[in-house]
Amino acid sequence: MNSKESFLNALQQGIAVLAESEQQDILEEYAQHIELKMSGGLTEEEAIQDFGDIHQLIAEILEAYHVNPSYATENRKSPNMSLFIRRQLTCLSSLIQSAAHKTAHAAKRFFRAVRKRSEQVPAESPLAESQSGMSKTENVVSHPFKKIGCSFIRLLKVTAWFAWNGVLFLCAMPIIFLGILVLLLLGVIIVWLTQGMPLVGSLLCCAGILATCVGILGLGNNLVWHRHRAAVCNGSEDTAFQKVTQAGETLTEKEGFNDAEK
Amino acid sequence: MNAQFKKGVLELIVLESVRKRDMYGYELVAEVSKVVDVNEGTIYPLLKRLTNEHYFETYLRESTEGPPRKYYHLTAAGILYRDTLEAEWNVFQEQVNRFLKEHKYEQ
Repeated sequence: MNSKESFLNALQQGIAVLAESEQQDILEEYAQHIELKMSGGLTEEEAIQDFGDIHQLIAEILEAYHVNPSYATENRKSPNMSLFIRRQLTCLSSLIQSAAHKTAHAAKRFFRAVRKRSEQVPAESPLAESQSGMSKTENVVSHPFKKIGCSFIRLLKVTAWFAWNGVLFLCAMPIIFLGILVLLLLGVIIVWLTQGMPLVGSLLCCAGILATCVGILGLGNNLVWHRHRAAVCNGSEDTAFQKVTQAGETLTEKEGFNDAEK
Repeated sequence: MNAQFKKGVLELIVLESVRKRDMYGYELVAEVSKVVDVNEGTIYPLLKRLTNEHYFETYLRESTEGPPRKYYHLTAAGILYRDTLEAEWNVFQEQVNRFLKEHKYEQ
């Protein structure tokens, strides 16, 4: 108990059973007394030592308010209890968080694998065709239906993107709303709890709901279909298409050259 | 000095100190320390109790050296209580002195 701050903290814990305004009043008076002693040339430690044993001091203050000091000492155990609860909550929230993270990671991997497979089919086919014979290249380049098909697939993709993300957003809205509501309730409960109301159960319940909301939102965030991936895919498709076109043109020229030779 | 003696007489000294003029906590502690060597921690709870029992009333006064200070003022009830304590003290110390004197001469 060497510093003024630690002395005042210990004092506040000791007189926590009193009304908030009274606590402030007492703390201010003691703080001012220490400051005045320090301005008189004493060190912080010396100024505090002059108050004697802090437990004795707390007992005397409480007696002045007709409060049984032993009752206040028993009540002083509550911060330890709240510390225990806080630790358990932190542990629980970290467990939920890690579980949600793992689930999201697994889901992400699954969807990435599905997407890769679906992208491999259109991406591979033009390249394979470019490497194969002329008849296949002709099919890609000259067939007008292929372009229409590509556009149709792209349109389908955009529609699916909108639909998927829209559904996700709609699902997230009530969870976000619930989360904000629970967060507000949690704040109110904490205030009531500090005033001594028996609301530990409600606090735990709210914290659980909040952690679940955060977990679900985290999972949902990983399920969002990002457009830039599609753009990259489209880009690769376009590049492949250009390569095929170039290959087709080269082959056509060669063929013409061969025909001329014949 | 015996702690029990101090405890008994401290209230009267504090009341008498404030009766002369209004004082703030630190000033009062210094004043009381002139009479009895007292733990500073015990003065504030005493002031609190006397204020709660309406023997003192408090007010804030601006100070040139730091934050405003809380001054203690003795109320009418406080004056009456102080007078009662003084009377009790006088009777008490007279009786004790007489007793001690009688026993001294008997030896």
